[in-house]
Amino acid sequence: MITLTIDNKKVVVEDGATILAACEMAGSKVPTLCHEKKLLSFGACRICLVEVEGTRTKFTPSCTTPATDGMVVKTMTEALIKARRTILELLLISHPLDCPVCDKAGECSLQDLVYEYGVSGNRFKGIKFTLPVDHISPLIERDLNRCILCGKCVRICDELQGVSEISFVNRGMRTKIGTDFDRPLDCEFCGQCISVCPVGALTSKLFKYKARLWELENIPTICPYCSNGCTLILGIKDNQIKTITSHDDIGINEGNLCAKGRFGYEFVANPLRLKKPLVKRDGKFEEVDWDEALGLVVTKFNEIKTDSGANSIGALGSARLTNEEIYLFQHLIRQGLGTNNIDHGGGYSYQGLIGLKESLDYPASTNSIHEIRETKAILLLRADLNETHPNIKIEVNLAINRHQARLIVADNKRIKLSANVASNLIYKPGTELTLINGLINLLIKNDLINKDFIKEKTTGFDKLLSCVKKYTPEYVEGICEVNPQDLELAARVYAEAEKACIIVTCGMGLCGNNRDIALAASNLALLTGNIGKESSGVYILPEKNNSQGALDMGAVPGFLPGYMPVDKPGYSAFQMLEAGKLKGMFIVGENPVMTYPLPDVQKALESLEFLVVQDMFMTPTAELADVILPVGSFAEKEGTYANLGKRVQKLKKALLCHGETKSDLEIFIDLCQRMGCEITTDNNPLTSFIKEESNPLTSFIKGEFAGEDKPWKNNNWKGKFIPVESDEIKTDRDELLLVSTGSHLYSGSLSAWSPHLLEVKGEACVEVNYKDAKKIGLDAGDPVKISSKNASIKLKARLSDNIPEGVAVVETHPLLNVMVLFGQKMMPIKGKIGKE
Amino acid sequence: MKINRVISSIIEFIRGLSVTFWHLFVPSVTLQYPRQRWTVSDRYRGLERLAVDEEGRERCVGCCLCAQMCPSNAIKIVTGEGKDYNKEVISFEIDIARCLFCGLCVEACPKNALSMTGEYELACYNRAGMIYTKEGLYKSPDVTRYKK
Ligand code: SF4
Ligand code: SF4
Ligand code: SF4
Ligand code: SF4
Ligand code: SF4
Ligand code: FES
Repeated sequence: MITLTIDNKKVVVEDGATILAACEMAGSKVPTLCHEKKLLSFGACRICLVEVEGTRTKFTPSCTTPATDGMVVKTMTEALIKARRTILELLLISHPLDCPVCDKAGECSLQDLVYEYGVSGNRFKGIKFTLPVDHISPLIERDLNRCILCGKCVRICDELQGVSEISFVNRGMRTKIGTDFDRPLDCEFCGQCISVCPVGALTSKLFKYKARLWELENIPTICPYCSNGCTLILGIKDNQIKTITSHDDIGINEGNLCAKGRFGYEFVANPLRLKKPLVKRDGKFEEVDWDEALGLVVTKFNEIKTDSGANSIGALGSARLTNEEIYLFQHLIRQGLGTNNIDHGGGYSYQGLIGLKESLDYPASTNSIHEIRETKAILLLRADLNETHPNIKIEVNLAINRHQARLIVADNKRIKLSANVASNLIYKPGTELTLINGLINLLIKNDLINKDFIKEKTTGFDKLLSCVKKYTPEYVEGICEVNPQDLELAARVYAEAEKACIIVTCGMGLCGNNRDIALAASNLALLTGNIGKESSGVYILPEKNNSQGALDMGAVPGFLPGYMPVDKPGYSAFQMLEAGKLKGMFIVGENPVMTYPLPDVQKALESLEFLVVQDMFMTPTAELADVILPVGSFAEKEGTYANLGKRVQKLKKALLCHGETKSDLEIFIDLCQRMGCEITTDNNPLTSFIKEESNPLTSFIKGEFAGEDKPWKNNNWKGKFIPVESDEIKTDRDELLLVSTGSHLYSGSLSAWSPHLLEVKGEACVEVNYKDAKKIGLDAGDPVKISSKNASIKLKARLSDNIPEGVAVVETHPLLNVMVLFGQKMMPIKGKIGKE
Repeated sequence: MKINRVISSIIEFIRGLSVTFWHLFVPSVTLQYPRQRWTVSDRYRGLERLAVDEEGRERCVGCCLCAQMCPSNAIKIVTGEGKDYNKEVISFEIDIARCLFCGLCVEACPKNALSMTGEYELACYNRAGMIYTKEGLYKSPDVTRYKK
């Protein structure tokens, strides 16, 4: 602890704190331009000068100088004001001063300081910058004439994003921020650089000239995309979202957002959104009022129920609904219609969480997100975080860069994070289980396991032992094509770290062995005693914003809300979509025709007597419906989402309803009443039934699981080893192994309706290695035909070094169903690629 | 007592008449509007107008400072991206029914685009007519007060 005096006030700060941090504690405001709390100190702008008594230099930059005991600091003297004014004048020499048209005006640090320090003229004369403005890059506009070279964008892109897309180029007066050879940006388009730029040099194209910042009403709400659950701040004017920003102190994301969160809001105002309920008569949709549409839904479902029994009705929910909505939806299906045929996410996107429940008795990631940054070793198991969970990638980068964590990447291709790894395991697609069993075998052989933990806290170790016996490094090499040395190194790195975590992604579009991978990961964690510790454990990252909630709330055939057992499990999603099994279906917020790996979904849905689809847009699935119920987007409703750390966060209603749409919750309440099934709510069912104390759900919806709620805090808890194995997939010489990548940055059901994001994504592609491409005679950009035993589709080819030979990675795309190639199991499959 | 009061009221009456009589010889100030028109002072604050520069381009760049300044929220501006990636003022409306002619918007304008004219005949038959759009504001009469 260090004690120092700031402006005659004594403060105590921690060792290593800077003078700036001490000033903040003392309540003295020191201006800054290049300082950013979440980045390392840089010291470029010199505006944060302070006077320290007894030093040889007149002024000291406070953001880079550590505080020492007994320092006496002054933050606001005549001389300091004069010096800061001079710095501002120097900055303004070449600045264009186009505040009236600059989109940063109002929140610009330079503007604020110039005003605060009363700089009205300039004693210096010089030329103004006349650099060309970058209008070509998508999403981000760069007007470097306004840049003050603080370097924040460079640092955030490097330190947190790990992309290093931009850097300083040239020297002296000609220094600027640029890309290599001044090409347009080709990066992740996270817009993090925009969010830290203190001036208007980097701005969002979506917000360009749309409004002035001070006119916006800022409403914090939760991101509708991935399960990280970032807080977005919607900037609203005239009932429209004009921009999305973030705040360092609001939400778990600490002000970091990815491209989807920051730029993916255009779907809300998309003119193609449905505005009125539609009913199909003689093959054509007609607009009707709500009463008629909902009346029809109830009569038809009741008819089917009396004629063919409740079991001939099925329902698909969505992991994009709020907890409240999912709860009511399954209530409506179970009580109102009387069937357990309810599912979501193809029936397997949530299987990873179920795997964890089986082995650890806890159906969610074991530790919270921020613990990742303090861990010592990370195993990324099939987790291309840059594409699926960009903000978890920030945690991984922090762990590597600030806490010297070592990274092991196990994936079927080179991913972006492979650049700074300790061990890179590129396995043959679909052989994850063999790889993990091989790791387990090595750990046992090298005696790197935590025997006390295994003895006291686990069961089933013998079974595991006998199962992994045959997985010697040589055997694993034969199947996974992974080098034994790499495997050995990975085993050491993981087991020797005092705290280590495993990160696995799961969801639609990834290989279908979600449950088994989760079990394998938890075996590995139990073996090394990495469960129940800080900054360790197993992270299962589900795909969608409320994947966790959808499972918690029981939108599955096998559980009631809160994982209560059900008497008779209903059909799973795939069973429901077998033609002829059902008579009526209720699909909410999902688009099976485009996203399910079944070739005959369309036929199955067409064969139904009655299909209700509840969606924002006219999707290919909605086109087959008899009744379409239009709903509100995330910005038009209230409710809660549970993120992957089981943190339950509230949405805020920011916009009025779009047209005549209703929120999903209002529709479910109305339908419940019409079907005569009781809703146990307070007077205001819209928000409060979930708060009710008597509700059995409360224990897991009370916000992030309190520490004592985790089962391993209980002394009797025992983790189960459940051995898992898989079959080998063999390919012939002229065949490639097709594998799908899961949801790419811009491939989702929402981004499809956000034109600017689609602009970045471009066309649907299949990635192959250069050598394979040469064999087939492909050039980059060639149209190709891919076929497996299930289907064949047409895509564009992209060539890449990151894909191993013999493998073709098929990207998911919002406008094309590529899943049909893989069939129901969703495992990598043999296939052929030919030039079109 | 009574007689005193009668006398004093007669005196007051005559005094009143004398004021009236005196005013017969003072020049009149009432204007015979609309036959006669008033020439307003240079500093009069009437209807706002928007100006163009020497080359005929709109001076207003859509910074919205006037709208921010207006105490009665009378100004509505919509901007967007126009030709050559420049900022374009898509619509500019002043609701004269709300305007209190304080002139704060003119003070705020950094581009000398907004000024006040001597136009005071602003009555119309419906509320919609009270909303002056960009076209009307660029056409309104010459400025009386134009700061340079
Ligand atoms: S958008 Fe993101 S990845 Fe691209 S330059 Fe900015 S910070 Fe880097
Ligand atoms: S572009 Fe912005 S953040 Fe980057 S150096 Fe310039 S002023 Fe700083
Ligand atoms: S990381 Fe996930 S939750 Fe956060 S902004 Fe991106 S999509 Fe939204
Ligand atoms: S004169 Fe005053 S009230 Fe009228 S528009 Fe300008 S600022 Fe608003
Ligand atoms: S203040 Fe002047 S330049 Fe700005 S919007 Fe108003 S009229 Fe236009
Ligand atoms: S904030 Fe300290 S040098 Fe820039």
